[in-house]
Amino acid sequence: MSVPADTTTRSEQRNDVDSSDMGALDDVALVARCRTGDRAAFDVIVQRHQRTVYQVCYRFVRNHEDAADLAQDVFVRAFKGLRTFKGDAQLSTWLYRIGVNVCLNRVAAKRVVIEPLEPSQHIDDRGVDPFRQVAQAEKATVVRRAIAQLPPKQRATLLLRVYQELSHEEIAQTLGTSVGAAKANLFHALGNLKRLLRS
Amino acid sequence: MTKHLSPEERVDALDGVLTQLRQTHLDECAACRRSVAELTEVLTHARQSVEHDVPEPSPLFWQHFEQRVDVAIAEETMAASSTGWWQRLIDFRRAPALATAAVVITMVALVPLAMRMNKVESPVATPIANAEVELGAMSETVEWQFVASVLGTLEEETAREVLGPSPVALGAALESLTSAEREAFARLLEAEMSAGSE
Repeated sequence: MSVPADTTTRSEQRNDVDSSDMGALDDVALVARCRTGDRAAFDVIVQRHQRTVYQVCYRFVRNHEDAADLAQDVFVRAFKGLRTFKGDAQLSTWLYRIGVNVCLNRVAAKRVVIEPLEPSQHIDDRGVDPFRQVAQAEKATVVRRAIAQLPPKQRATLLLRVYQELSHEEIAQTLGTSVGAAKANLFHALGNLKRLLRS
Repeated sequence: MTKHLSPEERVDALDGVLTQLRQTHLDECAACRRSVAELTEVLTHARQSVEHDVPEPSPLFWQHFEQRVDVAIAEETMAASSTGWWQRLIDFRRAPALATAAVVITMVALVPLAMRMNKVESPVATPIANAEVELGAMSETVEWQFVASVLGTLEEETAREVLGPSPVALGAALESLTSAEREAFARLLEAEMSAGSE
């Protein structure tokens, strides 16, 4: 895999870059600057997409430490692969694709932590009915545990569709399949999820 | 009645983008309506589980994350540049050529031995002579020039240690000799040892 040829330090480059200008650039322009060896441009890409990439990773592994490691790995791979990024998909879709591949590899190599059934610590009990909120949180946990048991591709499809709200076309691009296959994966994921929830 | 909705069409029905023709089937088919209703229910459960599904890390995490990525990239870049030279050296595509070169070098180390064996008319002389022919053909190649340049930097003792045949290979070679060849080899060794002690 090729590595961008830039070997100068970030502090050297930052002297030449106005970070406020850089933040105004769109992803296409940032990628173009990265390809010229501008590391500050890649920093902006990281800042812009880190939360989404982290969330994708967290939804696969369901714990902060692994999600942080995987998100870091996604950006390292993205940096190394920037020269091969053709730009025919959005940068975010490309990062999703790397993220899903990294996560599927991790999930295949390591058993995913099963989320405990205790209600989430993030429940806001100042709301209308705390008991109802607890019940909803428990139900959500049960659903997420069931999703974690789906086959990898179905799981990825469901997560990207429901949690990341990607279109079927974007999911197909992310997973490297056809739109029809992405829809079929979603159909089977929902069918299996129904069975898991009933059991 | 037309055929039932395919899995893709049922997903289209969930999204509300079914074609008019297939929508007509859905309106008329209880089985397809039930299937789509079940999928809708499961999808609703899944969507309800989205809220708070990812706890927000501390602000400090985001502040350090960019730095963490930066360090990891720097380490990867350094690792790639430091391991590149030997990875290229042991590139499997060069392995056959390098192995051939190693065999030839071993043969070259045995040339003085072979010359003595020629004097006692040993059958081992024939492959050595062939090796010399191969050596002539190899001497023009890049691999040979590389090996020659490496050899030029080695002390004689080091070269013998590195390039000499292994004890296992020598044992196997001795076992394959005929009794006449072994006698000839023993005479040769005695001559070598007596020459060395002088």
